[in-house]
Amino acid sequence: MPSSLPPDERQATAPETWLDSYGDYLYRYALLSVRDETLAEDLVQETLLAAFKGRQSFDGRAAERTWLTGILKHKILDQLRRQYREAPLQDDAGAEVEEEGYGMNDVFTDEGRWVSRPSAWNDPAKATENAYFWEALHGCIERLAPKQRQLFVLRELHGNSNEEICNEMGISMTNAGVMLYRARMSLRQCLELNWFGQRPTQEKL
Amino acid sequence: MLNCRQISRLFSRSQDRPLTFKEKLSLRLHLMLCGACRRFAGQLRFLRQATVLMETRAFTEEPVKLSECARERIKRTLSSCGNNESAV
Repeated sequence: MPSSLPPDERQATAPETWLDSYGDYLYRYALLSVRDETLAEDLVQETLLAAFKGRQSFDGRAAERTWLTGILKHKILDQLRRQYREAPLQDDAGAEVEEEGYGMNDVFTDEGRWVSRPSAWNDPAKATENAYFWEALHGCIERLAPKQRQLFVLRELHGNSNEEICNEMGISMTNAGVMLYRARMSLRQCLELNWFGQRPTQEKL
Repeated sequence: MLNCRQISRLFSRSQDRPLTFKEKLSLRLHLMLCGACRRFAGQLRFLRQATVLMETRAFTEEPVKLSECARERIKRTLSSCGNNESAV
């Protein structure tokens, strides 16, 4: 890779720049997945170390942050895989469910109708302009059951396919589908309660 | 005809893998007739968009930061690693 700086100088400064520029970002990213401050700090360190060691492979085509986030995603996946090995999915209460169960008895009647209809969400696009909305969404994701949250983050935030997640975690597609379904149902309900339900009427008053 | 519970599951599945022709048809038919599920579907779509936005946007605005202590520790580890490498 051509560079105007002598290799030693480049190597000496780059990682510290990364820590200053992207350290907090990577930390927040990690924290959302693992919800453990010490673990998140370790993941940032591992990521920067790996980036430092693999800096030759950085071709400059992607933005630095994207490149570092990619490394962090791998580290998070490794970490979650280790957690899964230590506490297999079957230990998660009710993760192994029969097709009909799905644990949504408070949401649907026995006949499969909505117990309470989903309410109209007032201008969701506008909500995303409000900093408190992100706090609410963040809080809702944090409150998910740990394994649901991990699957949801891997799927929706990291953009892994269900196949990838199942292969990595050694769980069945059915299980992954059930957990993601539950996560989405909880998040929907949580946002409805904590954001879209109360806020608009309060603002009008 | 599928009920709302089944439709909610089917719609969630549609966010993870392509539905079969038959599944698509049942979903579309139900959504045409059921306002509650139309709303639900819109909410899940929004949830997905918001989650993706969260990565690019909310992260830069949140006040959460690495602690000074962690920052120093990482800096030390990185520089010791750098020194080792240049020594080799």
